[in-house]
Amino acid sequence: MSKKLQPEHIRQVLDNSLEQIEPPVLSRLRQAREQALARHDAAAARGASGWAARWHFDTPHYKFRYFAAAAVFAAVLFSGMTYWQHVHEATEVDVAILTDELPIEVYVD
Amino acid sequence: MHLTSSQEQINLASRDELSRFLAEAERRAYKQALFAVRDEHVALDIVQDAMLKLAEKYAAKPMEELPLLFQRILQNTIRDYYRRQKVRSMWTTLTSSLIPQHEEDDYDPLDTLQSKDNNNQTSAPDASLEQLQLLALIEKALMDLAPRQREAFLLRYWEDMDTAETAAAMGCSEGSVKQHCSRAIHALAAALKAQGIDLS
Repeated sequence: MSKKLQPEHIRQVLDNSLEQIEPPVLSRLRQAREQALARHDAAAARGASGWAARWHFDTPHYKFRYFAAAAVFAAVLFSGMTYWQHVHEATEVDVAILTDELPIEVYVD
Repeated sequence: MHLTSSQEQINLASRDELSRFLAEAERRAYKQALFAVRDEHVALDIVQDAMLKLAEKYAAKPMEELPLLFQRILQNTIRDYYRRQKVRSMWTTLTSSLIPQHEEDDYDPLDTLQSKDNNNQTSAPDASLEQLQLLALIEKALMDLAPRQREAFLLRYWEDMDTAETAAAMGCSEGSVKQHCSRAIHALAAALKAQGIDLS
């Protein structure tokens, strides 16, 4: 075999070779394509349920969660303030003991 | 309700586009993978992996971006296979020195094609036989190219990508693509010339 061959001929030969792919291989390629499309459908469905979840976030159920979170925050804040007040009072008593200025009520208790 | 139905229409259209694109690309992708790995089943697995990845992660992309994305995924999947093979062959070499290291050098696609030709020799016309022989020689020469050279050559001259697109698909610079293509053409010309075919 002695002949001239252009790079475009290589392309043409390769294109022609696609027609010679055997049926079992074509069948497996078709199956692979169908699986890929099924995967695409599943991904699209997940995307749709993601939208549903985002929409669900604005429902009253989630408003209740906001309220509960606010209530917990208020409780923590109240506890902190009470504790701080208690510590402040104890400090006042300590200072009074050290300076011998304790009021008579303390001894009565 | 109207929003939902239009959303469905958009999804269905992109599904059809994806289906059409995959149907057009699958044979060439298979041949590319086959040139790279020289194993029909592995090549099919690689194409299937690439299709699944494209459908799952990138199907929402515009149609114009799909060919480049698919090529990039396909080439990465082939490279992943090479890496796994490299690790596997390293362990094989370590555990056994009895297994020959370059079994694939003995592989010659002409053997299988010639046997088929022999079976159909009476019915096949001479031109068709010559075409088959030419195809076998070109495929053998392509398989013998260095992986990056083959990748660049096929993307550039078979997939008809420009240098920038080929560089994007290969994850390298345009200069590297030109270098790989030039070397590939020289190597192909030399391999084919040895068989009496001038690549001009």
